[in-house]
Amino acid sequence: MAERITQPSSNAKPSPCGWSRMGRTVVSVWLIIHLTAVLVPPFSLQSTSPISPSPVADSLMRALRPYIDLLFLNHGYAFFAPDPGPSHLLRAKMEFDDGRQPLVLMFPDLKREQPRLLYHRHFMLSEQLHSQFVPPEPPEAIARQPAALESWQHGRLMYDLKWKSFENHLRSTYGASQVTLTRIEHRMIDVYEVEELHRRLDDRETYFNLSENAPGEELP
Amino acid sequence: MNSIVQATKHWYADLIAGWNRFWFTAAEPQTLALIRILGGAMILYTHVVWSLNLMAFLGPESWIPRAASIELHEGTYAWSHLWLFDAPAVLWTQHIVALVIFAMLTIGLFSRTSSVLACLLTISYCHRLEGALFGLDQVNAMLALYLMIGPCGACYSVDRWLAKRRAGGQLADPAPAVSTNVAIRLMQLHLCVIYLFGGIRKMRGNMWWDGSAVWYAISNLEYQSLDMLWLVHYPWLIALLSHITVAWEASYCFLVWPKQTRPIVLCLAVCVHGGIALFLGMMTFGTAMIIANLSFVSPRTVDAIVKRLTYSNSRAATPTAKSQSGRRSRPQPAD
Repeated sequence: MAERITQPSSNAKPSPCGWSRMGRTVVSVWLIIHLTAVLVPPFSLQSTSPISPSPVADSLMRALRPYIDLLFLNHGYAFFAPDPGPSHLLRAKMEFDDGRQPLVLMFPDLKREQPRLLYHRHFMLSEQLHSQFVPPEPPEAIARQPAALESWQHGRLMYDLKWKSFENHLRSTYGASQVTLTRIEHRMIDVYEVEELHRRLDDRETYFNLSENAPGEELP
Repeated sequence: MNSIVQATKHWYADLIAGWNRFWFTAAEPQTLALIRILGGAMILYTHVVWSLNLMAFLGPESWIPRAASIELHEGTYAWSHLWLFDAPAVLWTQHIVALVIFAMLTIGLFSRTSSVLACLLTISYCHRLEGALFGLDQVNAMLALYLMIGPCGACYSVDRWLAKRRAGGQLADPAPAVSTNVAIRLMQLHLCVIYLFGGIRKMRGNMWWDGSAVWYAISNLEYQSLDMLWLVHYPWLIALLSHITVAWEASYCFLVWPKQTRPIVLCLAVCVHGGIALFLGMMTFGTAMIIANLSFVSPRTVDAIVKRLTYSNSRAATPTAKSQSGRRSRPQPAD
């Protein structure tokens, strides 16, 4: 790969660029595989409907999965898409056995987490925990679909795993005896609310506690 | 029938010739070297920031501990050397080594080796830190992957400076290399895929069509780094910015190749990513995307800019240069 034009390969039929036909063929095959591996994950995301993924995208994804995973290429590139959405935060209430007052922290918190990149890491932790939410009971619609049920079980297992990891981390970091986590949605504010109602972005009414029982369900 | 066979043969020969021209033409190293410096610095900074709270992200009691991270990747082919240990002393030792390797990549010291190690480390950290990642990490990994392919330390590097010193100050310009071209082409095409699917995904949303998407992005308190709410009085401008963003993103992969439209597309890239960097609190991600867009700037343009910058710096720094600058400096030829 790194041969320079001034050091042609020793294989037969060197081209003007200094690479043999065999060298160019091998590299060309790899280039096609690599570019397909770059293209397939976002294509697979785009071509997945609520019912099923495109068989073409699914087959390509299965075939290239080892290569895609090894090189960290499994991305959808859907930045602020399909639409910008609300933010999701995490409130942690820590209680202590040693008589200390309970401590309530929000994640992310720009005052506590600096520089901005460190804040963004905490923001992603709470956002991605929310995006992985799976209700504790399977929806009735999938109760008789083994594949969907299996997918729900796996999703719930992964969500629980993250949730418990977060609790353990906070328990050990703050020396708490009990940690209570709450997912919070900070809804978007439209133009009318800002222009006519003069609502601030951090208005209390724009924050909602999310239920752990059903997706999108809000707590009072 | 014979003419159809002939036409097919010609078409095939043209196709192969075009493919070879696109991929297997030697390219000068200046663009790749500049991306090495800026991309390497971004990767280094990203990992320096992990150091500020290393145990909270990688330690035994981290947000997502080692065992959970392994379990989250079960059934995939992801890998990470950070799945092998989580003792604080070992973590810190390997992290300092990683920072040294990223610094070596940035300054171009033992570039071939440091670029391979930097790529492996970047991907390995990404796999371990799943759950706290975002677009920045995807771009960092992309840059690291392609920097490893070409001779990214062929110029603007300590390697080059050392080679020149060994040669007694007389060293020919670095030779153009096919692998440089392959690395740059892959970077360009990868960027095209990112923008194409980013654009297509946005086209499936309603807010990008009704022109309100930019409003909801700038009014998101958790992202906001500069208050842009004054735009509420200019709904026409908000809608225009939303439409331009989607149109630019979806058409990037077509319009970035012709020389006539390339400057416009790249200027818009700087505006969009500059906006994300300044107003949406993602200085690192916005800057990383601008660095990746440098792959579309020709090596000669990069060389001319770097020479002009270094010449004006040396004039300002050294009294000798200052005294010589009595006469007007001649600008370097631009692309």
